[in-house]
Amino acid sequence: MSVPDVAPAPSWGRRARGTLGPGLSWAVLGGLLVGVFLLAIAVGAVPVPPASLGGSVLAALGVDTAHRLEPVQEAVLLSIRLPRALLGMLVGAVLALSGAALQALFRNPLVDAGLLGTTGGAAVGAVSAILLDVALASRLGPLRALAVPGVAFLGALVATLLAYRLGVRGGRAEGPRVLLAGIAISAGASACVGLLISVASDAQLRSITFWNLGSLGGASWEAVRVAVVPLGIALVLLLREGSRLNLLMLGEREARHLGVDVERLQRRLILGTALGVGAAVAFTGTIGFVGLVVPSLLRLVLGPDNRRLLGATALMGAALLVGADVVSRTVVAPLELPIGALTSALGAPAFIALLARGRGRA
Amino acid sequence: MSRATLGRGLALCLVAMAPLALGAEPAEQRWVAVGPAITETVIALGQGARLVGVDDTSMAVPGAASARRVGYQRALSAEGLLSLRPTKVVATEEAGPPAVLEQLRGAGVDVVIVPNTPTVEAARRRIREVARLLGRVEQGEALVTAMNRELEQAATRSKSAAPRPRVLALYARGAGNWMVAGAGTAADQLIQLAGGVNTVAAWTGTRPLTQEAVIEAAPDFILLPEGSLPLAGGVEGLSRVPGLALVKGWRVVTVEDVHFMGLGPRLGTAVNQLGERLHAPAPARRAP
Amino acid sequence: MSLVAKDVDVRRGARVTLRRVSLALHPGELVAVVGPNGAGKSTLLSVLAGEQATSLGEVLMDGRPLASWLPRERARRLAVLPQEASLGFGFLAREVVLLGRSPHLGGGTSGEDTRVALAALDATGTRHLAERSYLTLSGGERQRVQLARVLAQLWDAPARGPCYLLLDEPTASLDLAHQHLVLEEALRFAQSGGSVLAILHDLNLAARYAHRLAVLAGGRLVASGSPAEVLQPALIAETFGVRVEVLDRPGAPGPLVVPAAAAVRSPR
Repeated sequence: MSVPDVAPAPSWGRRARGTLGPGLSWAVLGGLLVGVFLLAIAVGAVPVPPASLGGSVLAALGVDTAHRLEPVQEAVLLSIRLPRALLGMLVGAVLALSGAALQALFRNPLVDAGLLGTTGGAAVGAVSAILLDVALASRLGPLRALAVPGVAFLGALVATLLAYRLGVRGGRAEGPRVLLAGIAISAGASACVGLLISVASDAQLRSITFWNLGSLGGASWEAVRVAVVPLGIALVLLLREGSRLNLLMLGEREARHLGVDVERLQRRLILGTALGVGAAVAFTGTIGFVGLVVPSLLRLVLGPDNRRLLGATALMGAALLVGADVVSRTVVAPLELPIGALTSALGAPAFIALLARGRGRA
Repeated sequence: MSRATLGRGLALCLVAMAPLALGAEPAEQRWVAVGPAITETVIALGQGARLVGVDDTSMAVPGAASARRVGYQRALSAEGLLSLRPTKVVATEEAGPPAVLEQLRGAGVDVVIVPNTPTVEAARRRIREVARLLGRVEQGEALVTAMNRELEQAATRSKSAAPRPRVLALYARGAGNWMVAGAGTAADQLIQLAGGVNTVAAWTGTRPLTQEAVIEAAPDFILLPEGSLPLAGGVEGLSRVPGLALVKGWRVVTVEDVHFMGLGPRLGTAVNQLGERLHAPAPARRAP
Repeated sequence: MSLVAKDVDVRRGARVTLRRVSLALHPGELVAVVGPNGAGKSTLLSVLAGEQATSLGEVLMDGRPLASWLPRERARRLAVLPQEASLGFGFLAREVVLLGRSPHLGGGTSGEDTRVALAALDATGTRHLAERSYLTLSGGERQRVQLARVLAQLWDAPARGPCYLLLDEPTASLDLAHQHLVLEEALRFAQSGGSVLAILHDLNLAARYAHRLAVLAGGRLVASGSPAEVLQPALIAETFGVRVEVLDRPGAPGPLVVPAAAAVRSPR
């Protein structure tokens, strides 16, 4: 038995300030996000010459120049691309972050909000709202644009909280029970959607299909203003739980013995992801694989420590979704590719590659 | 993504859009039509050259193929549409998402909603409205008059003919996924105007085809959009569709796909053609 | 100052797994809980750990009911090593040990925490594994890293006040050398003022390291006392269904239990 050596080894423990892992720092991730964001503002079906953009900025500052944006270009920048990039950032961050948090909560790297019934519940809500659209439209007036997201959000909350309630036994939520309940609720939800689809008209069916494939096309300032509340709350709730999630990864018993109020933590996490993913899915439809692939990829580079992982996941998820949206609206312009189909098309092979690599640090 | 990629992306965009930008004259009316009945009316009024974009379903309208596709009417892309530099977007009430229409208005595009209601009266109003928007009021009235005349013709024919043939209107949502058009659909109007009886008029809207419904309907005719026939594998394949295989004696009539999607300016012509075929003497009977 | 179970009954449905068990854990002492399978050893440990509610009786830590302690306060005094850990993510061994420091002020990030984690790795002979992923470790190595984690949780705590370390079969997947290393470390912890309760299967290990043995059978505490008092052939035959000889070795730290020829008959 070795004698305890109380002097810490110099290479031990702390990383250099701001460094996340090999080749990755907060600056790199932040820079990536800023770059993708600027790209999203700059690129699209309507050309916006940088010189005119600069001119308009100068004009706004009181400097008169020859170059100015045309009104259409200005509208495209300010009322289409900007809210769309912002919504994409928020949604991407929340989807990826929720994935990471749920994976830690259930101690399983294959979990995401889809398994908890969140997505299924949102789908039932969205499809119902689409079917009732005509009935709703006359009563809601200007609120019509928020009908589908609103009902979808409620569906997501109800389904997730139901899964959680069903998973509670003897005052304690049991992870596997919550997951099983979530899977059952998802199955029930997809049966509901199937029933609703069978009575849908063609136009409604097409709308449902598009909703299901996901899109940031509905992004507007109004959508951003409404969505930022639940998405923001979710980000704040989840980003604070890094160290407690680390303890939870050891096991629920172990976390309790290390002073974690496990039940409260579970409730907060479930509520946070239900709010966040519910709002994300409600405004953009189903966007798959972001919650699964981003945390898994980053875990390969950074290790599983949630204090680093959560923030990095949010940044990376935001950058990924905004980037994917740029692709989705430029490659077949003036048409758009559904972004959910795009993320799944990229995510599925990435995920298979991750699985094939074996467990490693993931 | 690197700065080089960004630059290249921008450059590509600029190159791609250059011809469009050069061709755009400020006074020019550039239209995007959403909904086949609207598209058809624009073309019938001789203004097809104004169409810079049409929605997916309008692509089936003869003469619309030269316009750019802007996607499904309920999933339009604001920036995609704006890149066509339209001055006016004329759309059915189903066009959306609502936020996109708002963004188009915000960018200075005149968005006009023309309801797609499947009645003759609505069809007349639609023609007059589109004609007014195009400044072709007289031509619009001429279209309406022609349509009225043809519809009267068809009505006269069907009055003299008895009994009225029983028609089941079907279309394929995809291979093997058959839908029936009930009351309140464009196909239902077409059948009635042509002097037939919609066998499933008790239903409202479209429903999936069931075997029992076919047996109960006992149709003389199956009415199909042209595009659905290949999906069935022709008349031969249609007779193997569950339900249709059990009833004998029906014949197949087809109309252009657009007539299933809305009532356009060629409604009269379509009704006359359909009426002729519905009231033509049956050929020597053979099992379908 | 002690961790006390008072007249505890635990029922699971109709089954009674503990019946009127009383046990106190005092500073400076290592208590080994022994008994045949299904005797209620793990239930007793989870009652003392506050995981399992009692049907009757109560559990007090330093005079206050265990349930009334704030989770974090309690975690600074009471640490539990479960029999089997289920960590499925690739934390480095040192990160696992640092997690043990989370109830403390530094939360696992201070220099002090690093010093303690290092010392705990040394104490369990796992310092060379510090930079290895937990998932690549063998069962025995994982067990020792987890022990280092709970040691880190209570490191220096005996000097500040009473504290309790509960070990559920800490030697289960270890080779002979590491069995002794782990129990020596547990004994050192007790000698520095802490209290240890360990479930053990090997009576000789228990006899050698424990100050006191508690024998459970059928949910009851059937004997409690020093190894020499408790390890009587009659009691062992009665409890375990094994005939043994107990050899006293003057000068040795405890008696030696040797199975007799034709030792096993079916237990009652």
